[in-house]
Amino acid sequence: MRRSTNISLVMGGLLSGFFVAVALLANFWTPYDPAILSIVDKLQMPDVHHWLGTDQLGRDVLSMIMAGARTSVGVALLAVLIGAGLGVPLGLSAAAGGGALDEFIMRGNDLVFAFPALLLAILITAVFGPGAVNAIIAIGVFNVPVFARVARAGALQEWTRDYTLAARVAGKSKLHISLEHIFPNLLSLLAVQIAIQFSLGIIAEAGLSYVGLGAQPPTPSWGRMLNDAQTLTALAPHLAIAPGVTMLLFVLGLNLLGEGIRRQSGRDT
Amino acid sequence: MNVTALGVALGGNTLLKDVTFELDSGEILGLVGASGSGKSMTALALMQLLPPGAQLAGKVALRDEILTGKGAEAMRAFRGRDIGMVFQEPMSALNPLMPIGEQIAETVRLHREVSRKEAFALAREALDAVGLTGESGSFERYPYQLSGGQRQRVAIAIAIVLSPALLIADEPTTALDVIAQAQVLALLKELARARRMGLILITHDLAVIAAVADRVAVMQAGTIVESGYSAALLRNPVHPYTRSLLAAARMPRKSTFKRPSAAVVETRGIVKEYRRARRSLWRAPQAVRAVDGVSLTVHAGETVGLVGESGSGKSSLLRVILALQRAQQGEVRLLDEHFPASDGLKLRRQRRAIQVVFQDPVSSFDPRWNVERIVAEPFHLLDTPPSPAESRRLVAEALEQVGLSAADSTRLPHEFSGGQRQRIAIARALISKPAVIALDEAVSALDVLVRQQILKLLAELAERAKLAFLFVTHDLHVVRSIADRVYVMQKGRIVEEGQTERLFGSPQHEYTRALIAATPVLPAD
Repeated sequence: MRRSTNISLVMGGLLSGFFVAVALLANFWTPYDPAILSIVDKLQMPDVHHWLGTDQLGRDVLSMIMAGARTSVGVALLAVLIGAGLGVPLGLSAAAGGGALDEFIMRGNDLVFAFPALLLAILITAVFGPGAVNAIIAIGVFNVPVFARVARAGALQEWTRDYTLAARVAGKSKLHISLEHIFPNLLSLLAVQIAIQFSLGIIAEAGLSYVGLGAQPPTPSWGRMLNDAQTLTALAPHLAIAPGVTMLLFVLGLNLLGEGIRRQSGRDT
Repeated sequence: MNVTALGVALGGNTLLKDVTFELDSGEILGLVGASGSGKSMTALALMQLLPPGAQLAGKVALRDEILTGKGAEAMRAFRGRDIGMVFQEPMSALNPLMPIGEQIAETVRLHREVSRKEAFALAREALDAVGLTGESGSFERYPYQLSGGQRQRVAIAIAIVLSPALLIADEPTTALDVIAQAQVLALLKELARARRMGLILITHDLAVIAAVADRVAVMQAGTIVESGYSAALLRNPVHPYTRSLLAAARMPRKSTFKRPSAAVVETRGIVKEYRRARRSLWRAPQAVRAVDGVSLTVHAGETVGLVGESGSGKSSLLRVILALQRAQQGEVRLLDEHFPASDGLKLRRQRRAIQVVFQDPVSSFDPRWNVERIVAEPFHLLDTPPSPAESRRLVAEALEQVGLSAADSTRLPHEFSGGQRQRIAIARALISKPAVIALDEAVSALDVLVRQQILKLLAELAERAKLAFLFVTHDLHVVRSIADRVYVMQKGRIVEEGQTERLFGSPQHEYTRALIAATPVLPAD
C-alpha cells in the first residue's frame, strides 16, 4: 500500500473552494459596486485602488469578476442539480427495469444528446426571453443524459454483484434495492461527474452570456465581460485576461477535484 | 534450474524466506499451499516480476546462468524465451482482438529475428503440440470462439513456442471444468516429458499434484515447510501443516444417508430459455435452452448435490428455484405450494423458507453495509420487523451459530477473510429460519482447510436445525462428502440421480463416468 497524498484532491479542492468562497462573499461584499459607472476612471490599468483595473465604463474589474463568480457558480450549480436530480433516477430505473424501459429511457437520452445545445438555448430565449434562469434550464437539460448514462453504467455493474440477488431473496423490490444498495455505491462515481459537469456548466454559461443568451445586464457575467473586452484587447488587454484566467483556474480546479475524487475512491475499494 | 535461499521482502514484511529447490529438465515440481502462502510470489520472484519496492535475496540459476542480479533488459529476454508462464485465467492472458495464431507468432518475433513466415510455422507447430489442430482454421480463431480449456491450450502454446527450459504454470486448471482440467494436466505432463522441459506447477489442489508432479514442495507463510517425491510425501507427510492439508483434501465420504421424507422443494419440468441477441432484423432471435425439463426434489432435512460443468444450466436452474427468474415452462413447488405466489404477502412468507449462499465471498455483500445490517436484511420478509434490540440479539445469535462472535456485527465485510465471509453469508441465510438453503458453489472459492471447516459447519447445521441444502457444485469430492443424494446435470438435463454412494459406486450414465474418471484423486490413506 502506497500512501501518497492525493495532490489532485488537495489542489482541486483548494482552487474550487476558493472560487466558490469568492462567489459567496460577493453576495455581501465587493470592493466597489460593480454596477456603478465612473467614466472618469475608465480603462485604468491594475493599481492599488483597482487591483484588476477598470473597464471602458470605469467599473472595477475585480468587483465585476467577483459578482460574475456568483452568477457562474449559481447557474452551473443549479444546472448540475437539475441534471443529477432528473438524470440519476432515470439511469437507475433504466438499469433496474431493463428491456423496453431501458431502451425507451436511453434512446430518449440519445435524442437530447443529439439536439444542438445552442439551438435549444436560442429556442428557450426566443420563448421566455434571455436571462440567467433560461441559461440554467438550457444547461441543465443537457446535463440530464450525461448523469443518466453514468448512473446507468454504474448501476448495471452493481446489479451484476451477488448482493443484489441476496437482497431479492430477502424479498426486496428493485426500487428498494436501487435506493438502498445501488445508489449509495454510486456516490463517488457521481461526485466525479458532478465536478466535471460543474466545470462544463461554467464554460457553457460563459458561452451563452458571450453570445447574449445568458445573464443580462446589469447582472455581471464572465462571458459578457469577455465579449465587451473583445474590441478593446489592444488598448486594455487586462479586460480579457482577468475573466479568462479566472475561468481557466476555476475549471482547472474543478477538473482536478474530479480526478482527485476518482483516485480517492479507487484507492478505498 | 537451481534456486537457493530465495527471499522477498516488501516494506519490512518478509513475503518469502529461504526458498530453496532444484529442478531437472523434464521434471515436474508441484508448489502447493493455501492462498497467501507465497506460491505465486515464488513464481514472480523467479522471473523477477516483483511488485515495486520489493527486495530480492538469494540466487536463481537456470542451466548454468545465474539470473539474480541481471538487469531488467536481460531478464526481459529471458522471460518468454527461456522461462514460459501460464496463468490461471486464460481469457485475461490473451489478447481478445488478435487471432490466436498471430499471438503465438508475435511471441516468437519478439525474441527471435525470424521472418513472419517462419514465425507462423513455429506457431503452427506449437498449436499442433498442444492438440489444437484439426478444427477448421483454428489458427485464425479469436479467443472468444474457444472454450476455457482450449484457451488455456493457446496460453500453453504461447509459453512453449520458443522451447523454454522452464515452464511455470500458476493454477492453470483452477478456472476449468473437471474434464478440461484432466486434459490440460495430461498435456502439461506430456509436454514436460517430451520436450525435456522443467515444469513448476503451482496449485492449491493436492490431488492435482498427485496426478502429475514428480516432486512436491509444500509452502506455508513464505517458506517451504516440506518437500520430497510426491508419491512418498503424500503417503507419509511429516510436517503437521502438510498433514492438515492432506486431511482436509482427503474429505471423508459421507457414510449415513437420510431417508427421503416430505418434499421441501420440488420442480416439475422446468424449462428456461434465454434469447440470443438478434442477428437479423427479419429472423426471430434464436433461443438457447439453458434448462431443459428438469424435475428434482429436495426433502426435509436432506442435503442434495447438483453436479455439472459450467454451462450445464445449474445456475439458471437455481435462479428459477429461488424465483429470481421466471421459467418458460414447468413449476416450482415450495412446501407443497406454487412458488412464487402471486400474492405479495404470501410470497414474503414463502421466501422466508428458502435462502441462498453464493460462491463469491466478495460480491455477496454490499461493501458499505456492516455485518449487522447484512445479516438482518432478510428481516424485510417478516410481517412485523423485530425491534432494533431484538434484531441485534437475533443477529448475534445467528453469528454465534456460524462460529463468529456478536462483536463482529459492527465490522465491514472487507475486514473478514474469505471463509469468515462465507460464514456471514450463512448467518444471513439462517436468520429467517428457512427450511432449505441453496448453496451455489459456496465452498469453491475457499482454501482446502477453510473449505473443510465450512463443510463441517454445514453438516452440523443440517443436523441441528433440520435444514435441507441444495448444494450446487462442480466438485465431486465435496458432493461425496456432504450430499445424501446427487443429481448430475449435463446440457440442461438431469442425466442421472441417486443416493450418493450408490451413484458414485456404480455410475450408469457415461457422462457421470467421464466426470468421475476426470476427477484427480489422492492416493488412499
